[in-house]
Amino acid sequence: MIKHFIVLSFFVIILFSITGCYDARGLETLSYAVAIGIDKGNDNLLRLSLQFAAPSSGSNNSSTQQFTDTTVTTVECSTINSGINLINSYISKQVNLSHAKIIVISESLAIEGISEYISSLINNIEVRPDCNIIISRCNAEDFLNNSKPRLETLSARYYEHVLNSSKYTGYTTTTTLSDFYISLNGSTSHPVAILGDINPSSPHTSTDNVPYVDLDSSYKAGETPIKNSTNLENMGLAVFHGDKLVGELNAIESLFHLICTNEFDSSVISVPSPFNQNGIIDLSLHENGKTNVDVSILNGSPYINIHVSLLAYVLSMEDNLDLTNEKNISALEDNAISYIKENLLDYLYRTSNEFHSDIADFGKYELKDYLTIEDWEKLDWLSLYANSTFHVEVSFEIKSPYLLIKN
Amino acid sequence: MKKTFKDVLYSIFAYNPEESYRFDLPETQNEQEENSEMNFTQNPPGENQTQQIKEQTIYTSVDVNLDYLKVKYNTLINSDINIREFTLIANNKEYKAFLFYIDGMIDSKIINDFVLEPLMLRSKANTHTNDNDNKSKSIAIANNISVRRVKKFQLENYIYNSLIPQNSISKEDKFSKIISDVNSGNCALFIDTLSNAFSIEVKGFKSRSVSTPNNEVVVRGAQEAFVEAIRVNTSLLRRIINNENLIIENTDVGSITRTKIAICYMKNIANDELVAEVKYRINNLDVDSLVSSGELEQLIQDNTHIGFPQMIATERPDKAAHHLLEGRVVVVVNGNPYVLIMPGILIDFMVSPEDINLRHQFSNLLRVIRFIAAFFALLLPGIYIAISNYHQELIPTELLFAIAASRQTIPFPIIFEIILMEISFELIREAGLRVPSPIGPTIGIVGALILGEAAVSANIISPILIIIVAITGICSFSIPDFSLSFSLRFYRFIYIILGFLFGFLGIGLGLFIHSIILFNLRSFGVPYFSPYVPLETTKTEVSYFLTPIWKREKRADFLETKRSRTQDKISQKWKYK
Repeated sequence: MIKHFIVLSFFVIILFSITGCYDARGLETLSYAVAIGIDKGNDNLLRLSLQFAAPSSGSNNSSTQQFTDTTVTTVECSTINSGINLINSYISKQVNLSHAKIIVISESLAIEGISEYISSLINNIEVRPDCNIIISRCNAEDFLNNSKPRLETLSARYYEHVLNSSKYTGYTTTTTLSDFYISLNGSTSHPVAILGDINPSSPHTSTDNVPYVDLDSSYKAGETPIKNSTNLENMGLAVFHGDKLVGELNAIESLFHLICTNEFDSSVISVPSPFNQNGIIDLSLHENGKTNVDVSILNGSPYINIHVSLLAYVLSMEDNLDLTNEKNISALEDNAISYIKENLLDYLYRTSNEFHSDIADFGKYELKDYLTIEDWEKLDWLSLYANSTFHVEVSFEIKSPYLLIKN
Repeated sequence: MKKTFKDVLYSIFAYNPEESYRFDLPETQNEQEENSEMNFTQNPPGENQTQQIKEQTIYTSVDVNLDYLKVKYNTLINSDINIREFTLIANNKEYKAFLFYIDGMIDSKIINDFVLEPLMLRSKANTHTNDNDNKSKSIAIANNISVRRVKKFQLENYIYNSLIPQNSISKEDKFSKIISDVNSGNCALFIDTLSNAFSIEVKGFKSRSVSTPNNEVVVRGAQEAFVEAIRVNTSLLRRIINNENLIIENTDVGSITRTKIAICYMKNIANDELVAEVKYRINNLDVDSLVSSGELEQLIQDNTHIGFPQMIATERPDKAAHHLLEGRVVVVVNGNPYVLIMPGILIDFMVSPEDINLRHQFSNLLRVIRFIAAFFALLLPGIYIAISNYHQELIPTELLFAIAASRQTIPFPIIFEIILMEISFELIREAGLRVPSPIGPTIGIVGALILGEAAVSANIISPILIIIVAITGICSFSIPDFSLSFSLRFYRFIYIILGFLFGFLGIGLGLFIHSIILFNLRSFGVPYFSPYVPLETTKTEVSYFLTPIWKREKRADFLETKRSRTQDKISQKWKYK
């Protein structure tokens, strides 16, 4: 038996030696890019920026501390892969993209179409399909250069955390490379990406009409009046039609996008007060059940029925406001419902009338009525979406005024 | 003619003496011829000799017996062989006699007081003669001739029945039995004119007393451990089992040492075929010597190539008794404080004797921890090297940077570093075990702390690797069974090499082959992964995780015991009527 075992092991080792060992690279021989930036080039087609975290150990006496410097290397190239090769020849270690957390694409490039880059990135075995896609309103290179973590030391963790904030703000989404690729090549929806910018940036001339100027969630990336040194900011969404950038959504619209796509978790919104002409009331908004969507084709155009259920806790108090009073509560609820409805419809009609792109993936609800893919493709949902009519129902409930019963 | 590569190699390089040399000078021509023939044809002389001893009966002349034994035991050069010649007085007659025993194995007080004294002292019983024994029972007178029916005086019976106040004494007529008894501490009494000798038990050698277990320490539970003496060990078992169904069969192994072995089992529980198989294997060993239970384990295990243990070795009588009651067989080897329990399957080696004393929730938690420990002890260094060489994307970015930063100043590749550290770790462990015990802990401290710290400061080893090796070491220590922990440590090196050569593919491949071999392994007919492979549907008391004690109702299926239930369906009668 031992003889058989030796013979078997011998053959196995011979067989696997052909494949094994030769692509082994010690982890210290690689340089890990934590972010990839893609810009429109000046002469050539493209400017590729890679942000490297350079692990360096400074040992003082007994304890060894690790801190990380980041450097951004930019190269002019024709394609992403040739750019990586050029960078390889320039830096000392081999580039490895397996720890890239974000892919930043500049707005100017996105307007022209980015499907080529997305495909080559998803085709690269090193790039994680779950790294996030950010469309920056400035240069991608500047975006990476200005990522200055305040509370962390490492860029990689910073990128992980900063994008997770949409879970509790709802002001943007966490689009990954694979999400983007699937929507890009699917027939039910258009892709959407995170909108990013440096804040404060050169003043943008925003042409978007803002529904409530006095409410604090109608900003886009780079516009938030934060008094601070330059840093990057992710807020709002970049809306694509096919692979071309067609528009931007601000923070509050992003929140309703999340509600429609069932990704919403919680956020804080400010609704006009029913008791005070100019006053506002802050509500902590939570999901109270899945958003139900029903799509039907009426007279050749889609009729989309959306039922949203939300609940809220009152955060702010006004003087002499008695929230134990049922009348007051229902007045506040009515106000909030009309606010939500109004904004939701605004968001929906902007996507259909202005951008003509179904970023909330309503197509998948209609898809079930078609037996064959030919029937579905004949319908041409993505161009039909522009004629959509929306009907929105909101079930909304104020749960509790938190701690204060009567002020 | 089949000639392997090995034979060719040996014929070229190995030393092959042309002729065999003998260093004794032959005296006659005949002997010379005999010797030259004997080298090739005859059996080894030892075997011949033992055959002779076996058949030799005891002579009636005490002098011949004495000479025979003197020659056998080389009394001229053997220092501890004692022969006490004396004159036995019985029936007012004097008989030549001698006692034959080995100094140090006997209790001289017993010999003095209870053997020599009644035999030698001119007491009334001895001198008192004809009156009693030669007294005519009846006298018939016929034709002037008186026929006296006399009860014949039988010296042998007289000594056996009246002279030796000893509980354990036997009459033997073969030298072989006498010699083996003397070797184990009896004394032999030879008396002139008798064709039997007496083997009198006067054992009194010094042995270690029962003490606390050294290597299987528990918090709650018995604090007794087996010792070297076989009878003490069997008595420890009997004291716990406390039932007449416990059978302790004796046999011996080793043509020279005749090591006593006790095979213990519960007659009404253990499967007969299992007992028969154990006895068959032990009785069919043709070895010269057997000194420890570790040797016996290797001689009777099913698979000798794979390093995994197939029998439980324990120094705890309560553990052995517990397994006896499960229906297993316990084998005690004289001279070794570790008894063997068979069959042994994988789960037995992951179980600590503490487990049955604890509530099942805690035992199960400990078992989960031990399984994790076994996983890490086997695979952690291999996984580390696979990840760092092939699968960098698998670890969190921050950890990756920490490892990369710590490795920046290390001059060696990871494989060299890890093998260096693993070997030093084994060295420290081996050194710690081998040095005299007062220095032992110092070695550990010097080796582990100072050397590790210095190696890190000198940038020879990365600190992460110290963590990996230390975790692996701690994990291997937490495996309750010594030999299982050994085999995991051994296979760890194979997984390091596989991880280095082929990454996770190699480790997966290694696990695949390893598991095939283990699934194929059987210990005394029981599959190694019982009761899960093959799956047993009924819940029994042997399983990977313990059920509450009132639920352990059935004995293990794979043991096929005669008595399948361990308790009634409702064991807590006080609670549920």
